[in-house]
Amino acid sequence: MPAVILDTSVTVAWLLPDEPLHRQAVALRDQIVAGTMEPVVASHHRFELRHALVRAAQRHRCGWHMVPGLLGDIDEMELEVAPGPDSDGAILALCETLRLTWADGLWVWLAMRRDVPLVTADMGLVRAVPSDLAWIESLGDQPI
Amino acid sequence: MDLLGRDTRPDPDALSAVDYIRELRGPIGPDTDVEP
Repeated sequence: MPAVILDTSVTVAWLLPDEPLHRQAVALRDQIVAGTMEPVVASHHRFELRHALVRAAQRHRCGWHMVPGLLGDIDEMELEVAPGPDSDGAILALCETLRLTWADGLWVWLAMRRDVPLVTADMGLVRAVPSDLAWIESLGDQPI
Repeated sequence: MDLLGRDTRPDPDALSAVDYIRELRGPIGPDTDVEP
């Protein structure tokens, strides 16, 4: 089964119906649930997901009482959490050459390491990474 | 507006997942506040 790396922007878009790319995210989730893709996330996905849902609750996009259930929905997906590199050199090089943040660099490094697509809703990240370096796909380009 | 007269339009300041995650990670690209 082919693997796909899911940026946190994708998993949050699954959960919040008013996300601009919610339909694309749900279509991608449906493929994963159907067993056609093996979902992988980076080790800091857990932290980013919680940060995003807290911000969404603070903005009244979802109720605070809903957040534990939304986190549970992601836990039930049993996403593979990929370990980071043993040393910092590779990610620091990406940060220097592509002017990425460390968190972005880790997602991109993971796509390079696994040689599989990283799907993200963040067009800034898509544009920042040359296509011959890593396979970065826009969530907006995913079929509905 | 819904049947009760409530404004059901999305909050224009609500932002999106990409914004929330970007505020955590920081910006991509050169730091324009710092002289080279």
